[in-house]
Order: sequence, then structure tokens, then C-alpha cells
Amino acid sequence: MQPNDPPVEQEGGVQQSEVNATLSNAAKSIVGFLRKQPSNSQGSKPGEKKELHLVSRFGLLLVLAVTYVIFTIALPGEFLTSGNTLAMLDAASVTILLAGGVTIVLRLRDLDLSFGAAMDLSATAVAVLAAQHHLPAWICVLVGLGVGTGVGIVNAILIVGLGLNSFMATLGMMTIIEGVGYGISGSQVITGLPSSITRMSVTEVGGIQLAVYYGWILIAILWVVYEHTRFGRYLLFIGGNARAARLAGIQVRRTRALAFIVSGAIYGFAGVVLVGTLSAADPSIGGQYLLPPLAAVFLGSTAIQPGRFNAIGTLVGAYLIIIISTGLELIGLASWTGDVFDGLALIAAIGFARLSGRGAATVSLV
Amino acid sequence: MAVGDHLGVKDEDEFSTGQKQTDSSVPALEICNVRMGFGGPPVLKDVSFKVAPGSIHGLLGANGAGKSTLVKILAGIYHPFPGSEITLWGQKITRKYTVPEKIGIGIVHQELPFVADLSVVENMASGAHFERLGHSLISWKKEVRAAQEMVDGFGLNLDVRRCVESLSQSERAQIATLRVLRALDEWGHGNWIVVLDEPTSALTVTETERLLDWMRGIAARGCALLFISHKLREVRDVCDEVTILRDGRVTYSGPITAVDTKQVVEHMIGRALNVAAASGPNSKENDASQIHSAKDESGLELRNLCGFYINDVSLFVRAGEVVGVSGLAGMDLEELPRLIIGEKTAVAGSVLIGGKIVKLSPSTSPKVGLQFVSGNRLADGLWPGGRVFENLTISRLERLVRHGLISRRKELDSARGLIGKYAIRPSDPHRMTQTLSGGNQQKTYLARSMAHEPKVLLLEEPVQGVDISSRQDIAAYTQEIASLGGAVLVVSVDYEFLAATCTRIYILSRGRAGRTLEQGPFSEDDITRACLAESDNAA
Repeated sequence: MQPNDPPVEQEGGVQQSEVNATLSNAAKSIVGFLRKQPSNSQGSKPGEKKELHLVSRFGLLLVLAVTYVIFTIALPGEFLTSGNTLAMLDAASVTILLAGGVTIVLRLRDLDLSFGAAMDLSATAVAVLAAQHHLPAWICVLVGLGVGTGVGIVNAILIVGLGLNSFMATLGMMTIIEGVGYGISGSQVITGLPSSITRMSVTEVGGIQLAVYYGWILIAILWVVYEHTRFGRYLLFIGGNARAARLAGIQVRRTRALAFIVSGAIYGFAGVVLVGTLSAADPSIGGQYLLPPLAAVFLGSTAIQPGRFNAIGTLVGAYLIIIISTGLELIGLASWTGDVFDGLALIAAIGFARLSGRGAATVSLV
Repeated sequence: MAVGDHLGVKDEDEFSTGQKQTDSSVPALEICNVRMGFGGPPVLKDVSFKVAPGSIHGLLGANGAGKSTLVKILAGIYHPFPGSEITLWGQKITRKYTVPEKIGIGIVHQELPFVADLSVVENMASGAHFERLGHSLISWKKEVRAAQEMVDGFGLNLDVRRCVESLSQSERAQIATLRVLRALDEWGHGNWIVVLDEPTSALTVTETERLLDWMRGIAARGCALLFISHKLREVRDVCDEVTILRDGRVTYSGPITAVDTKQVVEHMIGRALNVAAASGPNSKENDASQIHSAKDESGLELRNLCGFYINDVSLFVRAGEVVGVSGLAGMDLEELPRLIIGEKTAVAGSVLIGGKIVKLSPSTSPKVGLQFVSGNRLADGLWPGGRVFENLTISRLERLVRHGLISRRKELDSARGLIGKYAIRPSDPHRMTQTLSGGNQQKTYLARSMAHEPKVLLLEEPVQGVDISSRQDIAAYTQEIASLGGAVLVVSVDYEFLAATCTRIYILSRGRAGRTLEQGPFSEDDITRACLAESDNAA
């Protein structure tokens, strides 16, 4: 059984010059951490099957490493620099927060498309209150979390209460929230945030921004929740067979509603982090955060626990996407290729998920 | 057969060509030496009988007698062994087929294949033969008119534009029948042969009456009907002739009037028997004083429970007892456990556990010590994509917690314990549940419920689709729960399993509690006999 304190927190006091080592150490310790998982998952299977099983569990990690090496060679002196590595970690942090939040809903075999917009609305609300109304930081943060939670509550009412299809309901919610965001910001980018807000995200610990740690901590918490709490277990069981879950005495409606609300709160938190790292809020940025987190989650479902949306796989997926998109950008592809890459990444991710996910979460909803 | 005028203009020509063949001396359907098997012992052994035009021919048999196999042969799903002959209107079928209507047999299956939220007319249109506007556009106006004419012509009082969802079960069966009649016409078979596979199993009493009356009307138009049922009374009510199958052989084929109920039962279960014996010293009618005297020690009691199919059922199960509820397969047996756990709302009556009236729902019933194991493990019980240990522990996770978190070690220990105790194979707790055999899946499902050591265990068809050795294991586990002080109620039509486990069996018929078999052990035949006799008596 794994230790309850996640390894990511052990990366604390590292010097900035050693950031690359930090990343590879993190990868190593994650692998070590996972090995302690019930890696005999297929139990008494013969050795060769076990090896295949290891490949399917850790294949994505291997892809991540190979991609990293390729870009290091292709972009000498550009890719493997502490500056670039830090930039990638920063860029991935919000994606990881959103992707982590959306795994909760996906484990139910529901879908949530409103996360990018919910995050953006939270960020915009924080910016409006802090920069224009000069409210104290703690109130702004509470409002940001409240906005996300509120979106989650509305989603829960629509999907659990009224029984609407989650894809369509959250698609509608996404557009509504975006509209509200334009409304409260006057369709302007809001800048000039007080340092009390930005400090919470950009303060460096061991040369790494707090925002990065938030993502790691969320992933660690989700891992524990998914593996070691009833709520986490019920999510997958409900996703696998909601009728059976109900007859087994599980409060299906309550669990589903809670899942939407908790994930909404996480999107709200992501908004607070986003406004802190950018020191600005842009009501039109939500759309950019729609595809990469979904791609990360689906890629993640091909690794660690293949066939299931899982926390650590999502982390690996998010880093893989950020590495490739950063690498392509550094190679000097035109900026429109970013959109093309995001779309390709999502399609490739659900394709891999389909191929690898023989079991549980073969993603029938996509 | 004056029905052609109810059909579309196009069909009328084809209809009249078919009419030439009508000749009452030629049987509509003749089944001759049909043999069939699936590798093991043959399921059908030289089955032969004839169905006359304009008659209703009943096909009776106990579970496993070969009725469904025969229907599937007629439907073209199974192919009988060489030498088997099926003749329609004097013409032998020589080719394999997949669309039975094409060669002239209409099959109304037990599960009616409707799209519930489409209208009757859309469901009746069979695709290949829509009423056309020009070459390719469907004319719904003509389509509706043709369908409405047909529905009116067959004495049904309904608007074909209504949603199938809004129809009663008997109306659905009627529409399904009209659909196959229409398909037969469209394939150019003006003389109809229709097989109705247990059309009444989902019907209430009044709906059954309505459907049977209507069937007589269809037969009066020259249609040959083969009516499959295991309800004696319905067959006696509606059929002219009957063929009785037992273990894949025809034991009787001839006019229904030539055999009395006793003889029919004898042909069905193959032993001379005294129907009255079932209501003799061993059994008696429910009586209220008996129930009340047992109340104090009873684990589960139902008082005058009523649902949609279930009508005023009272019964009790004492702690430490295994009690059966049986009858002929039907919706009443399916509804009973769901009324008890509160998945369906009872119209009247009450459920008592340990002498107290309880209002249950699926999520609260485990809290009062009730565990329900559904007869449909994959739909109602298991997460097929989950691992065996996850399915075993999902309802008891709160007991496997250490320091506020689920302890993986405790969980796996618990799962391994259950796997060992209930002999689940393979014994790997990490196996995907869907890769287990049916018997082992069933044991996994049962083990989860039994691990609660329930005060009341409600089992529905616990050995359906389960191999022989698992059957024995499951019977033993069932009795173990009783010996631990649980009250076990088994709802099943598996008379062999009931005979092996129960000390008292309530027989339901059309939703009502009929006789009760007291003081087991019983033989399988005792139960079969009681069920058949009960269904024959029921009004």
C-alpha cells in the first residue's frame, strides 16, 4: 500500500538550477510510488502477461520521456533549459487543476464541458472584485470558489435533479457562463490585480511557483480519494452500473450531485490560480482551456490504471500535452497550429483510450 | 378470408393470389420429425404435429420441454437436424431463412420489438414496404390511412398516431400481431400462420381475456395460430387443439376437448398424478390466523401487499427458514421482490421486518438488515468492468476503514475470505468480473450480500444460467444464511432448486397467493403439479 503522504510534496527544497533534476526525480518517485500500488493487479498471471501489463500501465510515461528526449535533441539549448522547464510546469498547472476536477465527473461516465468557462468566470469575478472594487483578497478568493461551486450546483440540479443529458446540459452551461463573464467584465481584459491575489499563485518555493504545487497536491488528494474513500469508489461503481449501485444501497443521486459540486469548486479554485499567475483576467480565455484538459484526462485513462480515469495518469497526460505543444511552438510553427494540435491531441487521446481501455471506462460517452 | 380490403391497394392483388391455396384438408403448418440439439442430448426428438387453418393450436410444456427451441426453429434462428421437415400449406420448406415472414410464418416474440416513443404507425411500417409518394418519399398520409384501416378492421379501438408507450400491454401484443400479418401480406402470403410466443406472460387478468378474445377473431378469419403458453387455463379457454411437449417429445397432440386437466398435467410432467393431492394434506390455503401466530418470530412478513400485478399477497418467513415463492413465470413473480425492497411502490399492504412495519427503498433496505439479490446479476448486481474484489466489497466499504481511509489490505483480506468461502474461481481478487463464468459471477454477487449476514435475504432466481456444481454450492449457502438466523425468501420458477432448499412454498397465480405447500421436503413434481393446478384454477 502506498504511503499516505504523496511524494510530490517531498520535492520541496530544491535549488533552481536543479529544476530538471527535480522533474526527473519527480517522475522517478512517481514511478516508485506507483510500483507500490497493487502492481500484481492481474495477480497470478504468467510473467510475459505481467510485462505486457506493465507496458500498458507505464507506456504513457515512456512516451513522455521519449518526447522529452526528442525535443531536447531537436532544440539544443532551447528546450532543456531551466527557464523552459519552469515555463512548462507553470503552463501545465491550470490544465492539471481542471483535468483533475473533470476526472471526478468522467468517472461517473458523465461529461462536463463547462469547466473552462467556470474557471474563467471565477477568474473574472476575482479580478473585478480585487482590481475594480478593491475588496480584500480573502473575500475575492471566497467569491471565486463560490462561483465555481455555484456552477457545480447548477450542473447537479440540471443533470441529477432534472435528469438532463450531461453533455448537452454542460454545453449550454458553458455558453451561459461565458456570456455572464463578458457581462461582469464589460468584455474587457481586467488587469492591475493586487499582489495579495497574485502572491498566492506565483510565490516560489524551491524555485517553483505555488500554482504548480497546487496541481500536484490536487492530484495526490484525488488519488487518495479515488483509492481510499467510499465517495471515490462509488463514482466508478455508479459509472459502471448505476442500477446495481442503487440496489447495493449506494446513494446514487447524492453521490452524483456531490461529484458535480466538488468538481465545480475545483474549477473555481483553478480560476483563482489562473488570475494569480496571469495577473489579469480575460473573459475570452475559457475556450483555450477546453480541449487540453480533456485530452489530458483521456490520455491519462490509458495509463497507470488503464481503462479508468485516474489521477496520476491525468498528470502524465497533462505534461505530455504541454511538452509537445511547447516543443512545437519552439520549433517555430505558426500560431494557428496550436489549435490544430489541441484538436488532434483530443482525438488521439480518445482514440488511445478506446484502444487501450478494454475494460471499465471505455469511453462510450465520446 | 375477407381481410384483403383492410389492406393497401397494392397488397390486394398479392392477397388474392394467396387465396387459391386455401383448402381445409391441407394443414397450414405441419411439423414432421423435427430433431434438434446443441451437442449434448437432443432437445427435440422427432417432434411432429399439424396446425389446421382457422384454428388456434396450443403448444404446452413445462420449462425446458423444448417449446422455445421449436419457436426459434420456426423463426429461422436455429436450424433443425437433417431429416426434419416443416411444411407450409403443403409446401415443404427447403431453404434456410432468416426472415420467417418471407416464407410465410409470422412470429410474435415474447419481447415485443417496439420503439416505444414512436407512434403505432411508425412501428407497424416495416421499412421495405412503406406507402410511397413517387419513388422514394414516404407518404405518411397514406401510411396512416392504411394502418388505421387495418387497426379498425381488426376491431381495435385506437388511433395509430398514438405513441406505442401509451398503449396497454395487450394492445401492444395486438399491434405486434398486426405487424406480422401485414408483413406476411407484403411478402405475398395471403394465408396467415402466426406463432404467438407466450404473449400473455406480461398481461394482467383482464388484458389476457381481451387478447384471447381477439385471437379467436383472428382465427375466425382463417388464420392458423400457434399459441405457446404454459398456462393451462388459457390454452383450455382459447385453443381448439393442443400439442404437449415433454423433454423434447410430443406426448399428446389432438383436440383439447379430448383431454381433461389431469391428463394434460400428466402429459406435461410425465407421471400419473392426482391433482387434488396438491391441495391435500400437504398444502392448504393461506389463512390469516396462521400468519398472526407466526408474527413474533417471523423475520419477514408481507401483509395484503398489492402492486400492479401482485394482488393481496400475505406471507411470512420466520428467522431461520428458507421459504419459496413460485408459480408459472410471469410478471407477478418479477414484481414481488421489487415491491418488498421498495423499488416499486406498493399500492396497498405492508412489509414487516422483525415484526415492525418498514417503508423501504433500495438504498435504505440494507440498513434494516435486508439484502436483495436480483435474478439479473449483470443489470442489477455487478459492475462487469470492475474487479472481483471491488464488486465484493462495494456495499461494506465502511467496515473496511482504517484511520478514516479504506484500507486496501483489509479490503483484499475480506475479498479473499469471501472468494475462499464461496469458492469463486478463478480465485484472483483482481480479475475483471466480466471474465468470470456465469456461475462465478452469481457467486460473487451472492457473496457480497451474504457477507452482510442479513436478517432477511431475498433471492430472485438465484441459480439462473448457473452450472450444476455452482447450483449445489448456492443451495448450501442459502441454507447457511438460514442456519445463522436469517429469514430467506426465494422467488423462483426453478422447482428443482426450491425443492432442494425450501421448507414452505407459496404458489402465486396471476398475482394472487394460491395454495401453500407446507412442511417440506417436496419433490420437484410436487411443486410443478401445484403450480399447474393453481394456474388452472385461477379465475
